[in-house]
Amino acid sequence: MLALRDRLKNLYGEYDRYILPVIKYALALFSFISINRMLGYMQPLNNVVLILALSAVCGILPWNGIPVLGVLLVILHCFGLGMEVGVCAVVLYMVLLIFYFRFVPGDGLALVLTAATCNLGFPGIVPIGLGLMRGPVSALTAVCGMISWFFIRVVNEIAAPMKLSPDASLLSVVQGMLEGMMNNRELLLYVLVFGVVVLVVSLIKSTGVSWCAELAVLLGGVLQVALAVLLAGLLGAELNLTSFMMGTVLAVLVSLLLNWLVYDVDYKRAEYLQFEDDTYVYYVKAIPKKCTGPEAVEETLPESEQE
Amino acid sequence: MNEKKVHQMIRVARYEQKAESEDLKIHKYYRRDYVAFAMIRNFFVVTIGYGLLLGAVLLYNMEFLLNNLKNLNVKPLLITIGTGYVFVLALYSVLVYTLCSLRYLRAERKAKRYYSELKKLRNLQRMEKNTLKQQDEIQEVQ
Repeated sequence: MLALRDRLKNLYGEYDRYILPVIKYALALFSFISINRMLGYMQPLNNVVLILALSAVCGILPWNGIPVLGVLLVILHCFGLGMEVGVCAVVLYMVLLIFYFRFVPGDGLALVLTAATCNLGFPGIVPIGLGLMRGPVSALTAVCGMISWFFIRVVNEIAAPMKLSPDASLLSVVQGMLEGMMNNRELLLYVLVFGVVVLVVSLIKSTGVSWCAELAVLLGGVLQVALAVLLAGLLGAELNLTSFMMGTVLAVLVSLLLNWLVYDVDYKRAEYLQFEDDTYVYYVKAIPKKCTGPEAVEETLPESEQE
Repeated sequence: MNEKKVHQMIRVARYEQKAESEDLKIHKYYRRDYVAFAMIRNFFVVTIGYGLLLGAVLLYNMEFLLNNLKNLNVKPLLITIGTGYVFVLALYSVLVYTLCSLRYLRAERKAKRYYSELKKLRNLQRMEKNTLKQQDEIQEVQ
């Protein structure tokens, strides 16, 4: 198994130029299909070809292309339902951007992935993953992700039925949505549980003891269920315990696998540089060395072209 | 091809073309200009954000406000809104100031390393030119 992991690492080091766009494409496709399934109010966006094209674009853009296009899709679907719903979506994401995400732009992907994994029924994957990969501050990212997910639920469960009714005014729809977000005990439950889980997982991981990542994931999973049960009782929030436990077990297994394959491995990418002097133009490809000791970057002799 | 010079050029190019290039851009500003620009941007952004949040809260309580408009005591309400705005602005200003100062310090460290590598490269190029010049002179004498 270790040999397989080393082979994957070396493969990535050599062919990252092709592998990374494919990974981005897959993540983008998963996120956009989930968004369309969850919302789907703007018919032109439900086109499979459009989604495939957008995912392909995300494959070549930087990582933040996925959350930017994902949020844009959510906003456009909300406008498809109604002007006031779209404006609420714009306001929500602008507030999240202004008060949090401008400081941690790297966590933008978690915002979209949280909604996608919650839609599948495994809400615990992203918080545990955030705790492993990022620091304690990412607890706020988990909170924002849950707010985004619950906004989508409020759009489906409150705004959409209200829009079908002829009596509903703009103001009543907005107030219904705000009511759905502000007095939502389930949202408060998930926000508290996942915020604490991210903190605990990242703190255990940062201790650096043997097997700290595995310990963090397992403890995170146990804490997630225990805290959810406790807070559900205290807050009087609805919680489907069976599906939550199953989701947590799956989240723990997926996180352990991701930790072994992704988080724990120091994937070094090949570096591409270009520069020139009076005589030559240099095109340099620096490939990470295939050794188990302290990693060093091997600089290949440059391929040069005489001017 | 001078391999030592090429290796030095690779080191310099990595500073210019990779993540450190952001730090080099930051270092082009004076520290106070960089922080001041970030603070001004923060002021406008937080004002917009606070306005949006305030609008949401007012909409949520619109029914109460409309029903009690005649009896509403505006002064305490305005004081509360104003205090909240000042508190949020102060909090984010401190956060932005701290983050920008730390970012500038890091950029300064990286820039120092970059200029030191650039100096080594210049010295290598000068040595190479002098060596070529000497070789040309020897050939002329011969």
